[in-house]
Amino acid sequence: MLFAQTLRATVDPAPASDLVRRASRGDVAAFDALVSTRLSASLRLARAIVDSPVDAEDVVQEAFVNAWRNLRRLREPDRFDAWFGRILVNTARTHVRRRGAVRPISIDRRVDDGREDDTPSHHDPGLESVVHGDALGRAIDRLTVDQRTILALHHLEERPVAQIAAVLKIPVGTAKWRLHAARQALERALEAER
Amino acid sequence: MNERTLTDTQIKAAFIARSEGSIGHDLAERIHAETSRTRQASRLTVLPGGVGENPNVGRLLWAAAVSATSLALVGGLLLAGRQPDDQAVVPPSETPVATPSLTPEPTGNAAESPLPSEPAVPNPADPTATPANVDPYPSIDVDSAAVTFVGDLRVRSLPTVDPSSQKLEPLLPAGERLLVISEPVEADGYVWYHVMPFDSTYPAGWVAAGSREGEPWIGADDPSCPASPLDSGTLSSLGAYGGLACFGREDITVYGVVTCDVADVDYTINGPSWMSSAYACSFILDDSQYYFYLDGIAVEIPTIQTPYDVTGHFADAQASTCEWVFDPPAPDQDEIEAMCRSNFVATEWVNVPID
Repeated sequence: MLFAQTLRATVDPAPASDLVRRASRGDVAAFDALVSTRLSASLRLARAIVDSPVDAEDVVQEAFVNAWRNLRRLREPDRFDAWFGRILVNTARTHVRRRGAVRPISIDRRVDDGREDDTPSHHDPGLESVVHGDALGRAIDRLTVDQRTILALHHLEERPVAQIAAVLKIPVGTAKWRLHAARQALERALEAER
Repeated sequence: MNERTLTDTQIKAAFIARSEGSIGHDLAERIHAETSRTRQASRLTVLPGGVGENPNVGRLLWAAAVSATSLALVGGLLLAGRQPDDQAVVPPSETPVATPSLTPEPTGNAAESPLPSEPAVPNPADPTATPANVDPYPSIDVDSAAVTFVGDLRVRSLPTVDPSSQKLEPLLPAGERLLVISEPVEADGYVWYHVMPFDSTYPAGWVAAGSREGEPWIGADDPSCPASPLDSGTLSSLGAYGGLACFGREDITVYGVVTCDVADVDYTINGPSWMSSAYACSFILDDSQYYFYLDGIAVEIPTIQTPYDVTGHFADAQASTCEWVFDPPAPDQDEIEAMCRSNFVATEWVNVPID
C-alpha cells in the first residue's frame, strides 16, 4: 500500500503508535509528524477521488483536522493508518457530493439533441476538472466518485478487497462487484476517449 | 469492448499522474495551524468542542467538555481529563489539601468568602463548628441550571471543608452556569450542591450555595428556554447542559441538517443501549456539530447531509445504567449518570425535503 510504502521510506524516529498516543494527548508536534509522513500519499488518494488539486488539498486538510479532533476515539494507535484512511476517503466522497461537482458523464458523448459532442467533458465548468494529457486520465474523470474511489483504493493504494470493503462499509462481495463494475466503466470511458 | 486493454499498472500510473500538481506547498502548515486551534473531542463521543487542554480541569473534564459555545452535548468529555497517562490531571486523592478556613474575605469586608476553604485569611474558627445559619437558600432541583452569583467560587471534590475534600481548580467566575446533579447536602455549616459547570474549563464537584451568614453564592438560573420544535442552532446555543435543564425528559423535535458516521468510539461509559450504537450522528452547525445518540433509528453510512426533524429527549431512563468502564479512577457516579442524562437521545427522525 502506498501509505505503508511511504511510511517505510520515511525516516521517522518515533514509531507511529507512539506519535498517535502523544497526539491523542494534545501534542501538536507529534501530530505534525504523523501528517508529514502521510501528506504525499494522502494527497494522491484524495486527488484520485476529487476533481482538482485544490479540492484534494481541502479534503486532506479537513481529513487531518477531523482525525486530530477525534484522535481520542481511536481505540488502537497501531490502527491509525487504517482509521485515517477511512476518514480521508469519507471526507473526499462527502466533499464531492457536497459540492455536487461530480456527476456521471455520458460515455458516448452525445448531447441531448443527438449530435456528437466535441467538447471535452473536463471543460464542463460544473466539473472543475483538470485537463489530463492522456486518454486514461480523461477516462477517470468520467467516472462517478464511487467508481473512482474503489478503483483508487484498489489500484493506487493497492488495498485488498476485504480492506476496501471495510473502508467503504460494504460487504466483501459487494466490493468485488463494484470493483469489477468500476473497472468496466473505466474501460468504456477509455474507449470513448479514444 | 476488450476488458483486457487496461493493466493494473496503467491504472495506477494514471492515478499517480492525476495527482501531479497536488503539491500542497503550505498544506502541512495549514493543517498545523488548524489543529493548533482545534480542540480534541473526548473518547466518549465525537464532539468537536471536546475537551479542554487545561490540565486543571481534570476532575471531570468530561462533564464540561461541551461548553456552551462549543456546542454539543456529548457524552463524554469525561474522558478527556481522565486519560490514565495524562499526568497533568491530578486525581482527587493525590492532591494535598490545605487546612480549611471558614472565613476568607475575598471582597475585603467581613463577609464570608465563597471559598469555603480558601486560606486567604487566617481563620481561627473551628471548621466543625455548628453553623449559625444553615439553610436558607432556595432549593435547586436536580437537572436544573444554577448560576454563580460571586466570583472565585471554590469547587471541591466532596461536600465538606474537611481535608479529605480536594480543592479543585480553577475557581468559578461569577455568572458561570452550572448543572445541579444531585440533592443538596448540608455539612460544615454550608449547603453544598454537586454541580457540573457548563464551561468545560471548570471542574465538576461540590460548591457551597452560600455563606454561613446567608449570602447566596449560587442560585437557580432562569434561562429563557425555547419551545419545541426548535432548530439545532437554538438547541446548541443552550450550552452543554441547557437541553437537559430546559426540557428534561420531555420529547422535543429539533430541525437541522444531520450527518452520521461510523462511531469508532472507545467508550469509557457504558450501559444504555443507545450508547452502543455503531453510528454517531450530529446536527451540522455553522462552525461545529451537535452530537446525539440514536435509539432504534436505522442509519445508512455514509449519510449525505440532509435536513431532518429529529424527535428525542434528554434524561433518558437508561442513564441510570451508565457505568464507568475505562481505566480507574472512575469519576463520581452521579457525574457519570448526569452526563448520560445530558445526552440528546433521538427516537425518531423524518427527512425534510428541500424545496
